[in-house]
Amino acid sequence: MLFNTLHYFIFLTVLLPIFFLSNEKKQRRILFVFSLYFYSCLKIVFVPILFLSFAATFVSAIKMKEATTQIRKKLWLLHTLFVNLGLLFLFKYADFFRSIEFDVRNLLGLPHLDFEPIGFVLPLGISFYTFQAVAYAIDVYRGNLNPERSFFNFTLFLLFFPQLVAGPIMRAHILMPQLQCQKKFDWTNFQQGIPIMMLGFFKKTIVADPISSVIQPIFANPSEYDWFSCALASSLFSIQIYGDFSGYSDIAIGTGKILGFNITQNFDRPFFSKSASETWRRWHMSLSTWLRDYVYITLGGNRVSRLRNYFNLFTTMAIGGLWHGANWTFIIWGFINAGFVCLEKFLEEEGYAKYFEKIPYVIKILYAFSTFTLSVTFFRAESVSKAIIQLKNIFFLSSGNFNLEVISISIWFPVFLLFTYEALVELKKWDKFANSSWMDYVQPAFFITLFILCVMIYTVISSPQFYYFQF
Amino acid sequence: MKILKYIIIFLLTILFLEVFLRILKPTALQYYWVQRQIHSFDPDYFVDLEPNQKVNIKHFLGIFNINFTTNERGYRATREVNNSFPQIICIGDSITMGFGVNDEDTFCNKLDLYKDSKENIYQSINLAVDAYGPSAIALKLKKHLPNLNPKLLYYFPSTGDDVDEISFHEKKQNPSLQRAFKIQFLLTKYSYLFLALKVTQEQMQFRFMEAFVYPFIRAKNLYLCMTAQKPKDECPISSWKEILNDLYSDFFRPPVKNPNAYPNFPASECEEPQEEFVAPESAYKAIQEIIDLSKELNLKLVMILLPIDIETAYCSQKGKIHRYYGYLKTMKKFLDKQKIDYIDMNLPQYTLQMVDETGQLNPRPYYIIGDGHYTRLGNDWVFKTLIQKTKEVLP
Repeated sequence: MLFNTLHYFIFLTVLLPIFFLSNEKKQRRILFVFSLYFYSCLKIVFVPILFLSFAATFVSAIKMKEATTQIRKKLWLLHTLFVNLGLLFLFKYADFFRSIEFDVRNLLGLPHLDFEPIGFVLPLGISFYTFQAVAYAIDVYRGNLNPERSFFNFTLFLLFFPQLVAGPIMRAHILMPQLQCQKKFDWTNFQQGIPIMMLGFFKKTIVADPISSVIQPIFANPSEYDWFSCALASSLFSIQIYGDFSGYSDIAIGTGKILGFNITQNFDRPFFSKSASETWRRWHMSLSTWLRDYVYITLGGNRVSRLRNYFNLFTTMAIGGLWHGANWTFIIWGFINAGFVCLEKFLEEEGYAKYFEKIPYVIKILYAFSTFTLSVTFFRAESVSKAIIQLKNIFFLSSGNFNLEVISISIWFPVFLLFTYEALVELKKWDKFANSSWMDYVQPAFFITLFILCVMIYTVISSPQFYYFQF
Repeated sequence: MKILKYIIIFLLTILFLEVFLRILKPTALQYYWVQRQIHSFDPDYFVDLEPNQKVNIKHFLGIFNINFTTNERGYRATREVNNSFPQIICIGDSITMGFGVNDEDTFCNKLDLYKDSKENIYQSINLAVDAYGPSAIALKLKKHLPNLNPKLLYYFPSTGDDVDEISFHEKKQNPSLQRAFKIQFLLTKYSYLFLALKVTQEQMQFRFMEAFVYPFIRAKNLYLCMTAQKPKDECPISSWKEILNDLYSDFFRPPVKNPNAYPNFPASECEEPQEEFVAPESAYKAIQEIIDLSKELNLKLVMILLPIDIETAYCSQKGKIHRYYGYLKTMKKFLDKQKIDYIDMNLPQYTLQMVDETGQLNPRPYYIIGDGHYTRLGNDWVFKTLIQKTKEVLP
């Protein structure tokens, strides 16, 4: 089940009264059953894979704790890494690496058969729950966490539906204690959760989804379009991906809040960052911190030579890129970001930061957004060559067709609303704005409007069938 | 004060919604909105086309993206009516109006500028409007034909006419229903919000069915198939082995489907119903009025019975009859009795001309997927027969 469906609305409406009218033990069972139903609605065939990952991690964690020698502990860690990353590799990367092998053999003139992809369907949420399971296992291995002895409780931690499909990648020490206590209906939580969910629906349904169809033809054939269309398409994609990712996270956080859970913040208005490095501290934070804690630090972090530190950054960002998808475009995306982060680090270490300080805030924001947009052009492109064509068009101010839709008010109006709101929050002026007397009238009307719009737009737009209008 | 506050919030919400919807123009709603703009309310036959419209109708799933133009009299055409030309009139419902294809691709438009052997040039006039049944058509012809210069009238009755006819007469006989329809029509034409609410409410029902009812229907069908209570060709899965195969196939990306692949309907699709179709009396009455009118205006009337859905064409190609053909079959008897000239394009001699680009029998490319109206190819197919008939009637 996806968040932006009527099915989810009804699911939540049924869950809430049952959940809050139950005692602590029953609440966990209810969450378990509803989470399982939530996931099964997507494709039931992937449920056993989910449990394979959970079971392997659960057993490994207990065995790691019980291990008498370091080598046994390490072997159990390797076991969980093998199962989780193996599943991820099989479903997500097998075809990619097989295509690389094919290309290498082709290049070296070695004998090879024609490349035929296996064509696995990617089990939904696999990138999230495997990383969450790996984090749990490493935390137990490092002695930062005691393993959970109840398989039910452990499964519920990974299966918890708001974060199961698209994160945030929750850490065990944050979520597990929350799952152990009785949740009571709290009107304040409800009042806080609903606007967060609404913001998420707004970002996803009204900001991100309409952009998708507008930029699709440009990314499909960048050579046909002029530089301005290409530049706007890349910028719009940055906004789309933000609306999409952070929208989902907001719905997850809002749902969690209503149920009485605090789910980790995943995005912190990244487009108000003043540098590429800051963008990465504010973008998809649960993944960034995961990569920092389990990859970057494992590689030595910044307590190594400067060159090695840059290598660590590049490796971490490349893994981050590859996590997003099995394609060279994602790896290049990671490398570009690493390049900017390393450059900023180098300038800072060389003492150029004081010059950077003097640059006006708006210019810094534009710089950070431009670096992000440059890299996400690879993220969205169908191939590396198409991304290069698009960037070439932008940098060489190429002529071509102008796509009128990229400047349509229907696309930019919601973008304007979203960033106006975020700017007010960023500049800490939102509370003053929201507490003004006229907002007593405008704010509820605005929220109800957004709610109705989201319901209308996604119930109608996502319609798979033709509806013949009856007179 | 509290009540006043709620009233202000309510009014503000309505205002915000209307303004936001007009700015956001959500793709799916825009599709319905544009269609509303090209229609107008008619006190006699309830719906007509708005004159002087030139719009682009983009299907929300990208199935088609067409131009739709109406002339100064509200007929689908890019040219004005010119009574100095003799005219060929087309009337029917959305199929005849050419829903889903460009102005220039409708079969009626293709008849435009037909030249007979005496070098007379004819203008084609498309009077069709979607959801018209016989009674609405009779009224429209009575109103419009006296102001035209018609020589030949093509009337395309449709399978759905019986339903349209019942709905039309319900409104005609019930002033309050008529008033409600008018209010609903005008509200959804001038307010984006009301249109959005109407469409959303209808889609919600479908979404609900999709999430909570269809899975049970599918489960029931699976049970019936597993227990051999359903014909084998209606069961994609009927054994445990097939269930496992189906689950296994879920691990892999499905092969890309050819949208023009030959339809795979079960044999029961082409089972002729035992009972004869009974058309509403009003339909016969209306057609009789059309016949009388054509006689009165000394106008040649030819009825063209089209297979308006792919199932009918599919069954016809197999030499069988689909249940949707019932209305037209009943109508044929009436036309035979009245000695009215007609062409039944549901017969295999016509449907067997429906071939795909490889030359294989295939009705699929002739119908818009998920919609049912004729594609450009489908319109061409109708036109081939029309032009032959026109040459015969207006040599």
